[in-house]
Amino acid sequence: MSDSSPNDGALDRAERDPGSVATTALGDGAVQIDFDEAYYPKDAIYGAAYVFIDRCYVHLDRAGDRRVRVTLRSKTGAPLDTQALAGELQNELLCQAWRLSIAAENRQLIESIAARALGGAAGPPGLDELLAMDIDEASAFEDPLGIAMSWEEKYKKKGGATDDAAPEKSPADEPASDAEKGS
Amino acid sequence: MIQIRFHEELYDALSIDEAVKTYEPYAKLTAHREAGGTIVHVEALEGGADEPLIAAELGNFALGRAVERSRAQTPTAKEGT
Amino acid sequence: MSTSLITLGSKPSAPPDLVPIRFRDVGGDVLLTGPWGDWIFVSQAELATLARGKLDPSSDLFARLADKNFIRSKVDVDKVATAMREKKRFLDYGPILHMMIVTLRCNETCVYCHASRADMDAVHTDMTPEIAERSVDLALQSTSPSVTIEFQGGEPLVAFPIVKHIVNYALQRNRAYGKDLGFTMVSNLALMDDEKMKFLVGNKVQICTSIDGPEPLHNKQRVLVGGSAYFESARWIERINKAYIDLGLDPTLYHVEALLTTTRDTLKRPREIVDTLLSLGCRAIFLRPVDPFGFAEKTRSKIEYDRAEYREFYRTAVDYILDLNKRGEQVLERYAAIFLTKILRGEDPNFMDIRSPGGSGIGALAYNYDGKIFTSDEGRMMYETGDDSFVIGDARTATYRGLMKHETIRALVLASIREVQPDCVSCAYVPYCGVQAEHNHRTQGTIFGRMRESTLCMVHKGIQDYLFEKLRENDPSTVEILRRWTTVRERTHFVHASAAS
Repeated sequence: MSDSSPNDGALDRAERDPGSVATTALGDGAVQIDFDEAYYPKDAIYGAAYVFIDRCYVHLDRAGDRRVRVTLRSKTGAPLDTQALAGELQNELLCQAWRLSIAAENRQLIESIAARALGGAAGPPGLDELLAMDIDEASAFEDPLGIAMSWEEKYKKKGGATDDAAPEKSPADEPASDAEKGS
Repeated sequence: MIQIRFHEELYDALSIDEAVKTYEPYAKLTAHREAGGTIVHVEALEGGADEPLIAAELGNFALGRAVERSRAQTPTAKEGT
Repeated sequence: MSTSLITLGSKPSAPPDLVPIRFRDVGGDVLLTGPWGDWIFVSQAELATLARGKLDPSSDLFARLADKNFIRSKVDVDKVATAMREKKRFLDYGPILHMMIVTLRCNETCVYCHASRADMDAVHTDMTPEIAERSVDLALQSTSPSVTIEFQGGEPLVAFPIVKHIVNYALQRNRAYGKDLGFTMVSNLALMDDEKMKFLVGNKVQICTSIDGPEPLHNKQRVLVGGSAYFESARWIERINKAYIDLGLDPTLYHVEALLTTTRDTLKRPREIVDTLLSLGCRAIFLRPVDPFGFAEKTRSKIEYDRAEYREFYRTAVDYILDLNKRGEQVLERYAAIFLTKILRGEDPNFMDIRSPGGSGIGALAYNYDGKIFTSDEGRMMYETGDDSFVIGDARTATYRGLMKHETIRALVLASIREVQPDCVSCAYVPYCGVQAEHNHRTQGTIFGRMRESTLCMVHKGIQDYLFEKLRENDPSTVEILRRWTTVRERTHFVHASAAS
């Protein structure tokens, strides 16, 4: 991973590769940054924009097919602040995009750790809490997790490949991933 | 008067509506739909806060609500982001 | 990161029998860390071989890797699973540390103060008995078998009646809960007297104070109107330590510890700082960098510094501490001890700010004088300066499980699982590290943070770089000292054991 600021030569990069990021300084102390959704999913753009709404005025718009335009204006109005914030936004966007990818690949791990941590901290419900639960005849037999379902019923093929035909793998079954770069 | 364009793929109608309702006491606001999104017109009230400020704050509010709504609808995996 | 570690060919691949690794350039060799915290040094040439997918099962490298759980087919899965389960056992129970901010009033003014202090006449910032009792009730309902109540402020001695009330109430209520209960107090000691000392020592309240260095520096940073803050701390450290000796307690284990907060002035004098703390009987020196909460933010321009300077300070100070150890002094550096416990023992000392997931909420809670409950003391400090993001309840109305199920705690857990965060996911130090989410929020506006821009990440990487350099050098006397720093000697005297035990 490069240690250089993602804002370095942004305009030059946009000219060479219009598909990535283009940054334009506007005259009124605002900056406009266009992102390609192929590189930065909308969720990541949302996440990055949200991080800044306490410090900046942020506006999103479409700038062509699969391109999102983020207009950023510092609440102080100073142009220098705006440029720095634009750089920070791009860094945050990179983090958000990468985090989406990591989370998707490690969903099981995240859920396992979070469940253990929160379950361990909260402990089992007490009698008062159980009595306060609204369980009637209709809801008593709801099975949202499919616990009562047999394996065959849960994973039976539906005339071809299913979305979740394979049983859950244990960590030991996971294929070795490539050696990751150190930092 | 200032016009703010909210693209329909980026701002849901409910979030825009909420933003308009929230800032109604501070400016004269009108909204209309057109192809691809909603346009909100911001006109300052006599002796009130200035239009650019109201417009900017309204925009932030709408974006915030749109993001929150989008996250509330996405699957659990995305809560890790 | 060094991208020059490997000259990549057209298609790099790892040997199929190698577990997932992360790597880092340390002192010219390459540190490999495995998923469970095992580590090994290899040469750059050996790393290049591995990156080509080559690993001769008859080679010395293979044998060395197998010995450290890096060879998949040689891993004792049950043993590793047991070790991991033990290492993460803190996940099985709730908050062990319960910080009670008994008042905001303080008799000193400190340049870096993050307690958002109040003047001595602000009695409305004292905790009421009702809020104190409700806070204790909630603390004792933690699923943790051990509970530590830590008195903070302001200056907790200002509200000594409430401190006494909490101690007495907690001891009485604990008869029903059966926790291993402990008390600690963080105090500047300037308001200590014989009566207070008798109560605190008699009720086994562990006392911790702040010493910023030699007297002139300490008094410059911690102003006590009409007196010398250093003199007051020093004399009561001596008196309390003597009281422990009179009780027949081992002074190397039972003594007042002092915390240090490094500022720009501190960085110039690492050896003097260490000597001062040693002269006061301290055996664990915690070289903490300044943090961005509360008052510290306002005086940032005067006391803040580049973390690269802190790294140099840390290295010089710890080198000096190691030298002292070689000359027979028994003293450790706390940060080093925390990381080394994970690196050398594969255990987790459960330090809230350096664990994954972090301890905010699930490991510690802060109960403010006004009843508000926070995920951490840092969250409480931000509240006092206008940010209520980390309020999770009120002691008067909250339930324990309601607090633990709060969405903010859930968010902090998710944000602090370092193994799945950008940058950390590929960092060699991820098995040992942790970053507080509240710090990320304060400095970067997001609880997840951007580690490349994080001063806390820079500090933690810097410390671990230093420690692994020492381990790579493998000087026997140094390594022996570092191992000794991981030895935990339980301070059982301070534990009010449950009635059932």
